[in-house]
Amino acid sequence: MIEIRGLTKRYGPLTAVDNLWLTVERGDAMGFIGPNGAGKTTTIRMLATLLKPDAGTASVSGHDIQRQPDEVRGKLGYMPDFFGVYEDMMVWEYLDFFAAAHCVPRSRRPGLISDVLELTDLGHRRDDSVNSLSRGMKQRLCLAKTLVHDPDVLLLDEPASGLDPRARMEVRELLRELCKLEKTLLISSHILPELAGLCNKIAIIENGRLVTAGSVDEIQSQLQGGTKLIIRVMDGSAECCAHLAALPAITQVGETDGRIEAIYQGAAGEEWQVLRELVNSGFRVRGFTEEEIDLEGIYVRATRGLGSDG
Amino acid sequence: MVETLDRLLYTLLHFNPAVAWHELRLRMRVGKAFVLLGAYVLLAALAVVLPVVFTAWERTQYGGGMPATDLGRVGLHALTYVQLTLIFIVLPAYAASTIAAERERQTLEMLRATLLTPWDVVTGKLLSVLAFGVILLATTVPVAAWCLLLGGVSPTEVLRVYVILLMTACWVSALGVLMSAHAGRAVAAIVSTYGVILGATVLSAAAVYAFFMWTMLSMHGGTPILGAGVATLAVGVAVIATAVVTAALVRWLAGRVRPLRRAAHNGLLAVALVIILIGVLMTVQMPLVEKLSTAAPTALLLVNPYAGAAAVLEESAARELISSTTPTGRGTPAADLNGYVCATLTWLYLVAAALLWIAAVQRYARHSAT
Repeated sequence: MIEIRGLTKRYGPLTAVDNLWLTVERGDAMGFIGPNGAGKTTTIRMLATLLKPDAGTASVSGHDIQRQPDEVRGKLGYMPDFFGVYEDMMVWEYLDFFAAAHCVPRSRRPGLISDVLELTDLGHRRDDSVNSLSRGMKQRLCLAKTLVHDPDVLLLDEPASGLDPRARMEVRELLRELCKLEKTLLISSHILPELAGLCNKIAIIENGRLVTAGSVDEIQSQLQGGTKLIIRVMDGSAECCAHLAALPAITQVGETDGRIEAIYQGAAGEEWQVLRELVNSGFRVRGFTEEEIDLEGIYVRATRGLGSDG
Repeated sequence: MVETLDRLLYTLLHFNPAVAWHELRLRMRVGKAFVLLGAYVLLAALAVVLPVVFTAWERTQYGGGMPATDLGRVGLHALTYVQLTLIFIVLPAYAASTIAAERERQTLEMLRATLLTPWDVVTGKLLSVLAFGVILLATTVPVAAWCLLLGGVSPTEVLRVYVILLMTACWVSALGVLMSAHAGRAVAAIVSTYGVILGATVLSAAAVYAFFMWTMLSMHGGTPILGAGVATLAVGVAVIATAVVTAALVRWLAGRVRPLRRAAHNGLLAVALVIILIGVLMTVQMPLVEKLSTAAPTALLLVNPYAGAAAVLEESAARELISSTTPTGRGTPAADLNGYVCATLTWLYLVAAALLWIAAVQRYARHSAT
């Protein structure tokens, strides 16, 4: 389990992480969400004992990250957001090196390596050069090396970033497998849907501060307040905006290049009434869609919902 | 068996050899290492064959006074200096790219998140570089054996040359690893290692020049202190020039460079200023300075990376080195001057290597604790 108690990190005048309190229970998979520069990576690097916090502390599996860094590293699997691989190296050698770096005795390594290779579906590439792997495979290899010393807690920093959709799906499948292994996971991402089906808890961070944290259901019910509608009309989008703004169910309207965005906060499943209203009013509607919940929308609503200063 | 070795190293020295094994495995992989070794032996062999053949030809042509039995000495001299130069070129490139390259390749983060301590990482890297140095030296042993066959040198001399070469490899590797722990990029680390070696060579050469200028002027009845002062001034200027040239080289080769720490920068400037100040004092004639500085310039000979090999090979060089560093002057401390120098330098180089190694561990640890 991970316990973060008032963690703070400053880079000069910038406060990257500002008095962060968060607990991840044993066996939980927590999605750690925030835009780029929110402080996700800084938090994770502090947890991985790679960065000294300026204030506050945290513990991993009951070990303090500052006083017992070696114990923490032994219990921890850390996958950085950017990583390189060694050239001229075979897949099994790569894993063997990291097992050795975690003081796994030589005789136990082959068994562990084949286990993690099987888990990450790289068994058939065991003797291939690391460089010949595709990006998605490298990502999986990095996950494999993170698992090779059988850690209790996994810190995964943007595990699916920069991957094509197919590789992204593979990584997600793999993460789902990990969740079944009863490990404690902290997975960061700037895309909510990527984690929504995977994690049972979610924490949202922005500007180094925790915006909200809780189970997926809790967060989702907080977000149920509204939907974003994307509307396109043949002409007269300005008038359309004005018309929409007058509707009681619409709380916010904006327009860019003929693309109208409106926040709908009426009854769920009744969005069609807005469309009917527009058509009846003579607007030549070309498109009317509901956009997937994106991160910005969540921030807006999560902060508003809590009434905090964000 | 290897597992027992691993466990032994860990229990006795608290050293995890993971990095050492890993580096050796990567470095010895066919291809680059093999080509490099081949080129190294070829150059060393050429360096011996060419002067030997030339000397032999010259003697048959002009019937020079030297007997043909010391051709091996000519070969060994050439082999030593060429091998020393090759070590100064190859090992810094290997050593300096160890840690900085990990940083560049973004593999260092993952390394740091493991149970490996700074001591494990730095020592592992250093050992792998040293192992490569030993292999380099071992490949030229047949060439040295050929020199033995040609005559003029004893096996003891060859052995001493190899001891000095090995010790030089030790401190060069440690210096390279230290620069690597410090630099943000591999190229910067390599160039600064070259810079230090080049700087040491130039600086001590300038100091020796100053010393000779001094003795020459005093022999000819001129004002010795004025001459030495001018020469010392030249040393100060040489220090600054070397620093500037090295910095420019680093900047040119590596692009963005982690700027030299303010403390290091100020230290270098202070050294240069002190040297210049001494030069100025001497130029305006101060009897006190004269007494203090008689031994100082040649003591700098020790800093010269080539001095060790020269002192082991040539008795006159050994005498020069001893007279400059022992306060009793020209009193002979041992019958076998070259052997004495070899033992002393072995000890000195080892101490230097150990200090650089500790500094590298410290530097790496400090880099990690941000």
